Amino acid sequence: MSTKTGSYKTYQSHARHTGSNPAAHIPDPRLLLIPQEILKDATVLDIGCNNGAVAGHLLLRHAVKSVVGVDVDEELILKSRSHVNFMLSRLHPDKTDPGGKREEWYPVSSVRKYGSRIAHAEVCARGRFWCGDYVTAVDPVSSPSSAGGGYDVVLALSVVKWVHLAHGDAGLRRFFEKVAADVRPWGYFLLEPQDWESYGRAVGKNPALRGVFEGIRVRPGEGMEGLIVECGFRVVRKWGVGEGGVGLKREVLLFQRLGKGEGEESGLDM
Amino acid sequence: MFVPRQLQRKVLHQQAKEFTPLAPTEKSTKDGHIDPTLAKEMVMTLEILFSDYGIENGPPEWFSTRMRSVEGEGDFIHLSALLDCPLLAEMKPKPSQVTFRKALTQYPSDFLQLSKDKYYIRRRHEYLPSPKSPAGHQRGLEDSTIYIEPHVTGITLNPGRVARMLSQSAIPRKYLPVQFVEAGDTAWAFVILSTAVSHEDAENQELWPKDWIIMTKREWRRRDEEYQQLRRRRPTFPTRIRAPKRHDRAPGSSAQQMWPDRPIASTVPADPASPREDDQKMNADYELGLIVYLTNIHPLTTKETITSFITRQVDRYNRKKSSSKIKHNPSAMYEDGPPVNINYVDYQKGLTTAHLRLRKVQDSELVVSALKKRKRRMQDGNDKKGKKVVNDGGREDWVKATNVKGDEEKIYWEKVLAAKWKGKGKNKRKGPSQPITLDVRPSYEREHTDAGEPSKKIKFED
Repeated sequence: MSTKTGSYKTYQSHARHTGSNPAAHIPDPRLLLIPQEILKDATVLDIGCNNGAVAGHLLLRHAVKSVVGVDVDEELILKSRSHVNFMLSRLHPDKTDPGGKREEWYPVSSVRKYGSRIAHAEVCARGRFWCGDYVTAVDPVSSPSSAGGGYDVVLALSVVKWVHLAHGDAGLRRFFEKVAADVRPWGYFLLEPQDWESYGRAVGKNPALRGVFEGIRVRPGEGMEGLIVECGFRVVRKWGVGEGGVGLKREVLLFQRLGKGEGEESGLDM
Repeated sequence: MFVPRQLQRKVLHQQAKEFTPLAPTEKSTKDGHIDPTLAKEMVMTLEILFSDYGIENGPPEWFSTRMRSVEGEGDFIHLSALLDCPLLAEMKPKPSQVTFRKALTQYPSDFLQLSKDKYYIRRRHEYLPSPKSPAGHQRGLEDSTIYIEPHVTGITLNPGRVARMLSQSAIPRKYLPVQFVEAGDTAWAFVILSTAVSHEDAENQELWPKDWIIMTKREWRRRDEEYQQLRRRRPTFPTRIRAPKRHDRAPGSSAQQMWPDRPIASTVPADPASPREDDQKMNADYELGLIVYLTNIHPLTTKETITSFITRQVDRYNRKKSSSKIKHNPSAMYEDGPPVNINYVDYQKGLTTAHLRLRKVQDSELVVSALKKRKRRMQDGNDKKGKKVVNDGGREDWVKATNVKGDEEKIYWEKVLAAKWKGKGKNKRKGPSQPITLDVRPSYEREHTDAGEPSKKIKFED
């Protein structure tokens, strides 16, 4: 499963950027890149949510309203629910400053020892996770886009390679089209694509992907950016390797979904 | 100068050989020194082991059985005798007697003394007892204990690393050396420092290693109680109490669990009502149904042979099952059965019994079913296939498997945990003390043996 879909248990964690196995209280540097006003009270879709670490950070540190996570691995979906529950349990209930870091107020030891203190329904209201292939499956619960709105922000961090290798160029286009349909107009799409060498390594680990790999014409970089623009986005900002507070190990791109009338809503110019 | 081609090749070959480095077992430099960070961590681990807290709260026999007189002076412990110390269990690369000696030479400790031949170590007599020591003063101990959540998971299991990182931070020197590190799990630990830590210092993040969460034990206790109260307000939640963690004990007595021979308190469910089976499962610190007890194995076999034997039996059992399915339903597809995942073979040479620790409950069920169906006798110590038993004249000496359940399972896991701390785990070396006997045979068999039957242990000469 892992070599097919990239659902390595610690794969998408920000360990890649910050070193091995960062503790749960260490912020994700990728989320610190984007202007925080984008995330404030936003509804976020995290494609390839892995173990829910990003979702947990979004809820705790970036003041998002709610997060929906999707992953192909059912085990990771269970892990995500549990992780978000764990992170919310550490939060001090009073919004006033308790005299310390409110996000990590309760010790890990207490949560691990006594279990979560947050009711399941409360967790689901803020962080919902569903299992499936984003390209082909449909969110079992109505998504904001189906209700006519759309997510404020969609994240695809270190996941696009696996979509590409599973569905080829056509699937990649479908993926970006679906993202475009799921983001509200003038909403944002944060992408962390893998480089082409990484594709080769994935094929080396799982030779069954070679057939699709050899048929790929859209390469990460300008080709992929062009495809995203064709799907109705504009590039807002790019962070190259080595940039960012910790020195990113992979490129990160922020796109904005275009609305019906250009200039209707002022976008971020960074 | 003319050199015959064959000789040229030979010289080249020799040169290549000379330049090929041996696979290093530790980070070592050309001059035989080991990585300075590693050396420092090793020495600091030893300092923790020989600290007041380590000595006074550890089992006395751990030290006394290892202590020797060297050159007329007592209290020395051979470096190799330290290798099974639980504090070193998570250290990578695994330390050896040689690396200990190199580390102590590179980073000499004021606190520890090497013998003249550099094979033995002891705490310097001038440090006995340390005036800085908080040991024996429970209140002082409470005040000098801090709760930590480091920026990276896993380092709490390596006391030397925690001590090294603290020593390299900006904390006031009066707090050093670190007296003890009690890892709760991979994410948090209690650290006992040399003097009481003020709340202000604990709050000042500039003093501590970057991105660590630090609080005094008093503050930790306050938040822990607050958390429990919050949880209690939600009566629908099942209360989860795991097997006692170190911090569950009375203040200052948490080291009791650091050492193997301390009694383990029974796990008491927090709710007075009798716990349901699900709750029991949740309460257990181990997963139920993973242990299989094997009997009638050959006394000269090995763990590897047992693994191969079991894997083969399960494989053949799966194949047979699949082919009989096709026979009854020709349209059915041939399917490989699930492979068995053996986590560990708990076996001691000379015995005819062993315990298997499987990864999943399905694995243990599969092993039991396979050996029930396939009656095979191990003919010798290297027999990975087994001889089919057709008519054994009522001896029933084929390899049998039963699931270990209930109290026997609980006892087994307790013994495993205790044995791990005694250095009998997979990463530990054999200590000089007597091995632990794990008498967790199914009750019917134990009664049978205890009633006068001779033990099945066969003397094995290695």
